[in-house]
Amino acid sequence: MKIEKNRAFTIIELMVSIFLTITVIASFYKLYEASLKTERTSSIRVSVNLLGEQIMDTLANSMRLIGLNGEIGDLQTSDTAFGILRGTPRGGLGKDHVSFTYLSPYGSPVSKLQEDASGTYPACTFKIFNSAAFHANISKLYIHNQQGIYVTKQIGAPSYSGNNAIVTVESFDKEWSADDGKTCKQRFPAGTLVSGEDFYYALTYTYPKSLKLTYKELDSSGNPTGAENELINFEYDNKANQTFQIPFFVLEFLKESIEGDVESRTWVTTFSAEERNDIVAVRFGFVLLSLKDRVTAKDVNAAPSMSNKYCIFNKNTNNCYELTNPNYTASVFQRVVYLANFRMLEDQVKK
Amino acid sequence: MNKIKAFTLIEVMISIFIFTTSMLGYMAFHAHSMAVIFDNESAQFAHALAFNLVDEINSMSFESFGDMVGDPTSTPQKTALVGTSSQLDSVMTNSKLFGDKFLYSPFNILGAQDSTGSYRFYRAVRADSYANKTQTYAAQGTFLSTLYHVDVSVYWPKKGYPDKNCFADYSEAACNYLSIPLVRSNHKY
Repeated sequence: MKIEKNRAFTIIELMVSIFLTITVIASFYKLYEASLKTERTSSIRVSVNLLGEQIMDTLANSMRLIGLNGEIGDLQTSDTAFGILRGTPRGGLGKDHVSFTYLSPYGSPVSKLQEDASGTYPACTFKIFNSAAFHANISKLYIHNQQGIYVTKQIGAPSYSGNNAIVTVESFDKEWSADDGKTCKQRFPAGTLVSGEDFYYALTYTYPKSLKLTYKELDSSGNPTGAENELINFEYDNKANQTFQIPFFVLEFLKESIEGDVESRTWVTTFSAEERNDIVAVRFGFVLLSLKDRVTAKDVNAAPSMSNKYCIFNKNTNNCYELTNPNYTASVFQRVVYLANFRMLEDQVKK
Repeated sequence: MNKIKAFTLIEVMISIFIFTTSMLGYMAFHAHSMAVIFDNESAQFAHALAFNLVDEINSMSFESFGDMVGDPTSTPQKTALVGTSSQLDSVMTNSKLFGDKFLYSPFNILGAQDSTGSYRFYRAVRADSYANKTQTYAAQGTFLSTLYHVDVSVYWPKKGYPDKNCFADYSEAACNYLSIPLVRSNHKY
């Protein structure tokens, strides 16, 4: 008798294999879910970090150039409508409205002469290392030589040759008598620092959701004029498509003072007109918050695994930002900016 | 005889075992990715800590900077960092240097001073004369002789080592480290 060898799975075998398959698929699903969550978390974190760095760099770079085009006279006035640091600054420790206005050539070219200047003074021709900021609408240049800063009269559009911008100047609004009799070449050798004009910058933070950095041009008297241009306009007004918020912003100034022989430095949130020349650094920081859902609903009520207080230059954790919704992603950004150019001017004044 | 043969249970189990093993590899990769994200964020924060202190040191007056690094030639010698090994930034807690709001380490990644929590960032400083550092001869009274080299360092643990004090007990396997150098003079020229 022939035995039928065409044997199929038994019900037990099927049940075991189905059980194993379901178990494996369930664990893969968990893995897949975790991967999605990770991808989302990391993508939110990357965007928070990129945006935060971008805001921080824009603020820091504009402040770092404070005083580059300045002269001693700028520090000798107590009128807060003039000078390099203007108005009455208002710093803050996180939950305060903040305002700070200052002059900075940020946005103008900062470059140097590639060759000695040519021509017969005051009609000099400059061959300048080009920079992206060297556009056709630049109206005047600041040329920094050993004696001081020469300020050109209105200049025409530069011509471009290779990696150079070539500018011809008819004469200067500001020049230095100590150089009398010298040629263009003697006054402005290769390597001389060249910068563009100052702008009037205004930093404002309106607690808890608006951060702005704007700039204006200056007229011939040094007053801000013309349209207000925005470098940062960060406003959270709770619209459905808005993701990021800055709920905490710190701004402080490092004031250096000398009483008798005792020198001290302290971080302050404001300073008077008389104290302007004692400021040597600025520090700022903020918490950037992404309101995109980061975790699954059931995790929302989970106890936080670590502190959720975000602190900026602060010893007292009661004055930190507390993230109450673990569904959101927050990150701290902070930077100290040494005002090297401003400090050099201060040293000259104090000397 | 008809020889149609299906998979046996053993075959199914072996294939599931192989598949699961390969997925375990993927899970390890996943865990590694999380560690990389954590390390990137930590490195960004550590850089901010280091650069902030560099700018704070740069913003000191020549006299205060001189006080901080010390003048090996002065008698008696001032409080000095020169020639010492790395010291925690708490050594700079001096109202004359940075005011009463100077924050010293350790910090947590949220920016708060935190000496007990996990993943602590320690910041340290070390100074030496520029001549010593570069093994060059600098005659007294020259500008070169007034230059100092300061290293600002930050130590922090890698993912998976939350309680490690990387300043006191540094190990390459468990810790990250970065150092930012700066050179400046203690005299006004």
